[in-house]
Amino acid sequence: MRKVMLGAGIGAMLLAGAALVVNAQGPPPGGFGGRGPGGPMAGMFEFGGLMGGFGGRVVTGKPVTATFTITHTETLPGNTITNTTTGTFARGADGSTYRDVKFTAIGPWAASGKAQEFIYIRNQSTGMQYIVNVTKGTYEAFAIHEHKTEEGPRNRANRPNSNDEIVNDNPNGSYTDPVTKTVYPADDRQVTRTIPVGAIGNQLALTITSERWRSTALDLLLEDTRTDPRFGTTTYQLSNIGQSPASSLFTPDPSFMQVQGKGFGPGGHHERGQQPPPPPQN
Amino acid sequence: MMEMTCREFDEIVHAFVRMELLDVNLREAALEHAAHCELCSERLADAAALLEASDTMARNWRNEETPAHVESGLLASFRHHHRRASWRRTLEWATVGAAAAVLLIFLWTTGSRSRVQAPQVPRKDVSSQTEMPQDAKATEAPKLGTPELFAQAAVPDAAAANETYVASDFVPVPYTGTISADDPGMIVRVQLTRSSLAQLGYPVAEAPDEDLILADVLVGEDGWPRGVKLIQ
Repeated sequence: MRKVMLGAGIGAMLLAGAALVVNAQGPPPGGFGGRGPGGPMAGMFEFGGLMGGFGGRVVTGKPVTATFTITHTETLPGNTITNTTTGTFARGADGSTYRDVKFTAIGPWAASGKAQEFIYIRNQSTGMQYIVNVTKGTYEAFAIHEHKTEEGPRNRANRPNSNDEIVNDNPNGSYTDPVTKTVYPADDRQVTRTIPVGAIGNQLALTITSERWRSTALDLLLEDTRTDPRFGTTTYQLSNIGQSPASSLFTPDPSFMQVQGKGFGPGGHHERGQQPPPPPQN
Repeated sequence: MMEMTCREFDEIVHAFVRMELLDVNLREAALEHAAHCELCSERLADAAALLEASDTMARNWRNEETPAHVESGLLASFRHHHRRASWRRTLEWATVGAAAAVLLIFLWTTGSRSRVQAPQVPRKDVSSQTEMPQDAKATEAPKLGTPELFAQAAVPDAAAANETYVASDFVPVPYTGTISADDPGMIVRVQLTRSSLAQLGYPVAEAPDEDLILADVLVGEDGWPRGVKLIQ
């Protein structure tokens, strides 16, 4: 019995020591789990982290909450693949935004491994933005930097109605909330793009259609349906559209633990020596 | 008077000489038998001699004692055995304690690492400027992973480029439309195969499919990738 205990103790110590050494080497850069048999296959991706939001105008005075649903359907010979992701979008009167996302898929790529759930918050009142890792119960906080959003010349030159793009814009369209059945006036914009023969090795021309309903009153994308013969159909749809989200929505859950980010930019020099304040505990 | 056989006499002779035979009739019968049986008389004499010899020996050994060195030797042996057992027990507990301590350190280190793992890569400002468009047409789609790609996508404002992602950081996904300044998107760091990039229409260089690529993907609010930036 004593020998067994002694052996077990030494074994545990050696095992823990080995694990400690392996752990001390750290994961590969980017927060990935490393290569192995479980790595992403073709058509899949391995999630490494949410880097943050991109773009988006600050819209004030138009608070809104809604549930968004992203449905991707791909039809194969004799088979159909359908993936659905749901989440919440909210915008406060001050322009703060809240969006939670589950990265089960990005376009045609399916996530390998367990889906990660994040919340991205931009709090205009505090000037902070938060990346909340719901899966881990942690969040990072960064200051919001002001930037110009002017469009460059290249953007203007590539406006719709160019040769491969046909745009039909109906400013008097309408959108019906699938849950509340409320009808919203919306700008209905249809875009048809054509991939010419041989452009990507295609024998015949490929036609991609997209249609998006955007509410001018709410300054909000209500629905976007995209059909691409290469990937299938993807629909982004808002439902249960309401107003006035709680202000507490724009701060991370107080029970979550703040982890230290490296700040923005190379080396995180912006945040060096200046840790952002924690969110209000309301 | 009862008659006694030689066999019965043999059974009681030692008890008779040790005065342990209390039955008077049996004692008289034994004496009567020994008086008439020569063999049993000799047997009685032998038993009496044996008893006297053992009594004498017992009296002689009564004063004998164990030598002192035997006692001290035994005590020393006991102490030595006790010390060894105690040391072994201490070693066992020390081993178990050390293992527990190492496990605790391991768990603590793992926990600490998981708390700081997420921001291992420096995050860039996501409040984003969209000076450059996500041109869906990608007329001459640059080859991913080549220096020319990033040279073409050079950002006019170098200071801004050091601090923010700009649209020109991302090679647009061919034929997927633009992401305008008003459209909120998200930047997601992923690891994927080259064939996954080829699936989106990127003219990736030929390479073994097992090679994984680290990339930041600009995802529109509809969940569709709009651009890819390779991480060097």
